[in-house]
Amino acid sequence: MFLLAYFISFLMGFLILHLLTRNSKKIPFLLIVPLAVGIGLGFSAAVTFLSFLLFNKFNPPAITCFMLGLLMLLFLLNLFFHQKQNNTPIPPVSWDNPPLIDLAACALWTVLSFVIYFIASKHPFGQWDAWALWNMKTKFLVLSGDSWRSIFDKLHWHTQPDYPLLLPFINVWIHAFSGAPLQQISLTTAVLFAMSCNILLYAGLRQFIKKEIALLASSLLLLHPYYVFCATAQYADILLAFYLLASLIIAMIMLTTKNAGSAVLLGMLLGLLTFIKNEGLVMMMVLISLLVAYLLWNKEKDQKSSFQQLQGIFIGLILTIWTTIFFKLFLAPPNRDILIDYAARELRFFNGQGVWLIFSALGREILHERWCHIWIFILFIFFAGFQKFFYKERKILSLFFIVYGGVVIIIYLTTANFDLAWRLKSTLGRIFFYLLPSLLFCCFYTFWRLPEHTKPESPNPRSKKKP
Amino acid sequence: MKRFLTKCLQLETILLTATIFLVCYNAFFLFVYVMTQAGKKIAVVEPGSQYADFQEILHGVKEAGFLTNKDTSPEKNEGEFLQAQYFLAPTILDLNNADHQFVILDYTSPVYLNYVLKKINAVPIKDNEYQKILAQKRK
Repeated sequence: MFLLAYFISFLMGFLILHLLTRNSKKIPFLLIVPLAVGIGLGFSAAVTFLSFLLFNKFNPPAITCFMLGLLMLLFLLNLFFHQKQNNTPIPPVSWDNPPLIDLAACALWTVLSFVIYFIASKHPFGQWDAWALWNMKTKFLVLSGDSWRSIFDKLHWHTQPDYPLLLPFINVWIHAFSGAPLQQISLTTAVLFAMSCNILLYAGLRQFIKKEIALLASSLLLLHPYYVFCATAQYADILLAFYLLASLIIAMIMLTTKNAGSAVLLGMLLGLLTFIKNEGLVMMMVLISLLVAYLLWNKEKDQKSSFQQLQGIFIGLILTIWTTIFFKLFLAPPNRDILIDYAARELRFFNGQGVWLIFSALGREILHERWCHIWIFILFIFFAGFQKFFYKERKILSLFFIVYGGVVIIIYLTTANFDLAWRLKSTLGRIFFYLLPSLLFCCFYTFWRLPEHTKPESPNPRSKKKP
Repeated sequence: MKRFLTKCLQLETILLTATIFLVCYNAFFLFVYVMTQAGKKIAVVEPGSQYADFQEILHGVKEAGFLTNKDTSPEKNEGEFLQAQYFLAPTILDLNNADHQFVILDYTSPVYLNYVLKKINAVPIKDNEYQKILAQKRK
């Protein structure tokens, strides 16, 4: 029964994607599936949050009605637009005569999904932050009645009350529809995002590089033992990894196809990214700044289409970022780690010692055996093809990681509430984890990108016009 | 032969070989990890289950105190307070604040427990084998 709730979210995401891409060329099925999961669950969480704001408590019938109502609305909109364009209502999905490599990928994922579920079941309550933060807040939302806002003002600061709540609201929606145990839902959500992230990496890379190399890249991720462990730890970091990867893939698709629907989709994904953790907010700001700079100052770009793309991004952003804006303005307390009054606080680590601690911790993490040398591999690709990483639209990806890395270092240097060494030990591994899928995408996209006139996808016979 | 060697020494070939090697390397260690997990026979206990005895009594109670003499700093705490908070949610636990009708005590020795109970004028109403005590303030 609870799998039906995931399916309803998937259907919602699918209809949203269908609506956004009605004027564009066919989207590969393997790209639609993970995107539909992400968009659908994101919107489900937003609808659940809305119901909490309206009814001031956990109200399963209201949440279910809102969801089904939204689903109906999206279905009718799709029907309307397709009738208007005299198109068939069959989704523009291309998967005729799937290549052998896609079938091999699907077989591999099917086998590995059982492996991942098995590993997840070995730590069924997740790791520390899973039960201390996310699952605890999910319990609060479900059980606390009309005092759910106590999460923000009465819980101890160890529970990070300023953190947004996308993951808890996803789990609350599934529980509202199915009544399934929260522990089972948390585990399934983690496994679903772990698999979706991998499929997204393959499908996203497949748009731009040879499918065999895309499969290698996704295998590198899904067969990584520490990735599987962290992805099934029931943290919000796997959501960060997924939505960041999705945003970067859609950004590249938008820049190469100049499609308005992709721009709106990118905006939606960035908005959802901000509702996961505070890091998502930083990622969104960095990526938006780089995209604006690239679109407005790139002489090769047509100004009119650049403005249309920016317009699309901001429209999509508004549709989803309202949750974060409301949350930050009216519910969440200020973040204790972002210091506003630098003069009043003693910054013990804003010096050479702090820099040394950070870079030595970075070195230890890169060389740590749990990563199976993947960071050495990524650094090797980066330095070997250095110039390629700053060529045309690829510089957006490279600059994103450089700027984001710089922001993280500054946040570490301004640590005032913790011991820096402990903070690095507890959090650096997780930062590496959620950046890994996007970095793999960046490396493989940059290095093995086919020339723009080469289409890796075979054309869909249904797209051919009749004579 | 020369063309073959030239192709082998190209950067893309080297990186592709490295990728294939890394995939096999990861697959091996994933297999080892799965096998070690499969061999584990210890049952996983829900975090905070050492406070399970207090759940029924605290059902419907909005706030309770949590007193402890253990280290509660972010760097060195053992997670007792957070585990209790998770398990007893939606009851809000107020760390090191005894101004509540119900108070959970988690101390390293019975000597401290007796002293604190006397100080806050509370009586123990439930205890368990994990040396956790739920106390209620005298009226």
